[in-house]
Amino acid sequence: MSSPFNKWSRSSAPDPDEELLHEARKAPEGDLRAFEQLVLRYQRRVVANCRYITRDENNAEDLAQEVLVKAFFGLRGFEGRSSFAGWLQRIKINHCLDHLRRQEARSFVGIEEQHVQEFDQLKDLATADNLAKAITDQQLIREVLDSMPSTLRIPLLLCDMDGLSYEEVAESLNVGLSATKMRIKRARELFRERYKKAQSTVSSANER
Amino acid sequence: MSDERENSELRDADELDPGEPISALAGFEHDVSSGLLMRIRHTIQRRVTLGHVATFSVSLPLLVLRQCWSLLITRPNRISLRKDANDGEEAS
Repeated sequence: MSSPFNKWSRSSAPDPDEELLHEARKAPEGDLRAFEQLVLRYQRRVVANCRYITRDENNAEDLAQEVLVKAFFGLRGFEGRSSFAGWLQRIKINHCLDHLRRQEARSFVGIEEQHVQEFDQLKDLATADNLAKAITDQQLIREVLDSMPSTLRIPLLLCDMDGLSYEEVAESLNVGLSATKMRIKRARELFRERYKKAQSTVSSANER
Repeated sequence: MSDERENSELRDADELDPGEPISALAGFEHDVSSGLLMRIRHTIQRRVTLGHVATFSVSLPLLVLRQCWSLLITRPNRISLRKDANDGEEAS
């Protein structure tokens, strides 16, 4: 798994996107070819993040589209202090968290509140049925992620999917470092536990 | 007091081990519909066009105003120059 996303914030290696980025920035207006190459490189990853951070299947592509359009218009302002992947990452995370906050404001439920835990428990029941139908490993991971509460799922995704450090996760979520570490620890435990359970459910269903 | 609390929190954070990362999540991707790239392209082109229209709708009236102003400034000067020239011819 050699995705550039996992090393973006720590590596000092040359940016693999530098050439395309240079072409995209110097391209005449209306020439999107170089930028489209960057989109093709990152779109699956961006959609995955938008999908699992917001848990919104229907809006994931729309969110990804907004993120990539935002990136295009911000290209000239990109100073190259981090890699392109890292910069795109920041846009994506901020956009997804803003989306969640807007949703939260509309539904009058905070992502930090107890109500969310209750909502997530209801969601667990819904996904339990889906587990039986899940076949591939990717589907299993999807079901397990969907069954996790937001307070645990989001830090886990930022850390293990996006490769952010604990400090960066804490900063992005505006939560203390120890609380962030604790959430990630609990999230990893919960993920492993549910993943194992889901695997055994699927294998026993297949045996029948 | 608050410094002590902060320090103990930092110590706690340092000591806490969140465990090994979930490796399956590291390269996790999601299928994308074939129309996404096209939608991104259209959105960018639409915004660029809108930007041009907005710029044009501001700059065109400004340009017209500037031209009118310069006409107003230069025309009376020309009239007065012509008048002076005529007066000179009559006097000679």
